[in-house]
Amino acid sequence: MNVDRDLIPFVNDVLPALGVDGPSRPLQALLIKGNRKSVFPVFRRGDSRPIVIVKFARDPVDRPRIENEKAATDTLVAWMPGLGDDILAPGVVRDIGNGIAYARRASRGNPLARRISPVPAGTGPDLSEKHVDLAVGWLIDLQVSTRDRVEALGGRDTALETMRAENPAFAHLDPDTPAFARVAGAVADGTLPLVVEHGDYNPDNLFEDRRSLNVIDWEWGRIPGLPLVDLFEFALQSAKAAAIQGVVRSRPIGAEDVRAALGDNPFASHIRARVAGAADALSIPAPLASDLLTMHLSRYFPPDAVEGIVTELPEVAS
Amino acid sequence: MPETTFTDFACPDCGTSLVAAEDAWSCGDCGRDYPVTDGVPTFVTDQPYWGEMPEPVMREALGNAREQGWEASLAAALPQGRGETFEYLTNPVRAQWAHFLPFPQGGRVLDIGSGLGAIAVGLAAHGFSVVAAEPVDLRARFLRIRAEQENLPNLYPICASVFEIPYPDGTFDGIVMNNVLEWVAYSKPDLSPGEAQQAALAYLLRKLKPGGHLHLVIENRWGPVLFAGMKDPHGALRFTTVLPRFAANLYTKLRLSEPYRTYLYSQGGYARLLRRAGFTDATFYGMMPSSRNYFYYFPLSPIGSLKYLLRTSFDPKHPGVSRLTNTVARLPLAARAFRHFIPDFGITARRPE
Repeated sequence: MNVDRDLIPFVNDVLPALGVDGPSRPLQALLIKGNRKSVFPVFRRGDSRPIVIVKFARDPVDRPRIENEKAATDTLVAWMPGLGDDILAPGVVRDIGNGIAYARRASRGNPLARRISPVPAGTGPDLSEKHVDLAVGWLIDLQVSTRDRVEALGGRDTALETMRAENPAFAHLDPDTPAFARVAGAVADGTLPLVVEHGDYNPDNLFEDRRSLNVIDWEWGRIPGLPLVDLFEFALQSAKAAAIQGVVRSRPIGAEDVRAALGDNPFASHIRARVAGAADALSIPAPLASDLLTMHLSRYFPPDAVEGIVTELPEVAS
Repeated sequence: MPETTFTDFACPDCGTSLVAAEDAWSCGDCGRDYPVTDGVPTFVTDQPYWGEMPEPVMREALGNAREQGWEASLAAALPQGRGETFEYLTNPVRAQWAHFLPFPQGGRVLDIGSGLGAIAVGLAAHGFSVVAAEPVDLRARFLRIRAEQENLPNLYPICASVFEIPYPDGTFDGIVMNNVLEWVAYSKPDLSPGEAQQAALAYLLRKLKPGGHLHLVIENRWGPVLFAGMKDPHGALRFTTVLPRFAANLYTKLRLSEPYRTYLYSQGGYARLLRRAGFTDATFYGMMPSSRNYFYYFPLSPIGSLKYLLRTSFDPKHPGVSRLTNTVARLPLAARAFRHFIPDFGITARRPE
């Protein structure tokens, strides 16, 4: 895929579909290098803010993810048209060059990760409560307001198997582990509500602009998905972002991040309070919240390690 | 892709077409033979080993590559396994700037100093037909195994140096030099560093088709970290790039007992060097934080996106710095000044028609 030959003509072509208007100056792009995908902020010549972001993937393995992002955002925008204006930017997917491209209107504001300040080691991230509340509040509002629609879609029978099949991070998850079995039972008997799940709800994907939130990167979005796991991911990734200060962006989540996110510190207390609020709002029994956390941590740690880590933590939904 | 696509060799000495002989390519005119070892034609002689890892480690990795697979053998040989060095040496993601290359689709591309193939494999994945020229035979042979195991018939490693490219003039649609130009003066000790670099560029110009493009990736002499006292990655001394050449030369002679030969340039300096070698239409891109491990790759003109980078790319986790860079980005001349202090450049330049 060549920027001048493929990408710029593609963006020019889809600007109306993305709802981007304005003067017709030539476009230019810059590259943000990813491990698997390339991301291109596209500017009007001379402008200092991008108008469109294009995600490009060449590897066929990434194609379903990009198609999933398009499907998830389209579903949400169709359900809640207001989201398309302020929170979710609808996008266009097309084959260009030797891969697949996903173009969406550029999100306004700054990533929430930028709001995380350095803190002394061991004291937990100093993510201000208002940013936690913004991120968590938005997600819970979305999940509560779309709960009936998600339920109407069906898919309870296959929700967990689909999750394990689609996400390599869960492939090793043993269905016989007690936490998984209890969650599976609650999904089957309807005790656990299924919701819109973002799948990668981390502060780099959340942009704040004048107290409104733009949520990007729905590649791992699942409808129906599991509740609370996005909150756990947000807490873990926030803790990691605070710990590494953007220096080593690819470091995996460690046990110290779990303690910073959900252990015994002011940030974790606030997170737990919000998780408890979310569990209340979605009518999730407290023990199931712990099971969901155990399941979520299995993305990052082997089963025996997860057990040890969870035992150390205070009750997650207290 | 048949191997014959890549074997239209010309003698690096006299330019005559080479003919295949047993385990060698032969020149019918000057009589030279160029041996083929493990499927890799070798066009250099007496090339001392050079690499990011010691020669015994490279030998061990090469020795086990066929049996264990290239990745496993390299990871086992490197002290840090699949750590930073492994990533740097092998990860084709480093060639993502290829999205901006003006080479034609499927064009024939020469990658000079290809090492273990990070850039060459990336270029091949973009669909180009890539000749990977690496002067150290252990590395070229390792890359040959890698290309076979990754099923990349459009990647053809040869053992050749920048001044001994075994192809006729006008062969390539594009030539890539990724962090190589600064080293070429060591191949021409009789020339000054600037003369050697200009000679290399002029030689490569001939290897391009008319209208073909050269792509350089190289550091900026005025890179901020070099000003701030970081050691020159080529000479292991501080401030050599920013000192006047005569002072840098004196300094390296005093400290290292050798002259200063790894010249870097400013944006204007590279433009002049390319122009003197016969290239036109030099187009500059910036790379941050560095070409070794960049996150941003961006055109240096026009300047709109530079304002965006000024606002967003520096220490985004620190609100104070963020406020400062936002303020600076609004200053009328900030972006114009900023582009002169970009750490590293990607540069494309064209051979005139």
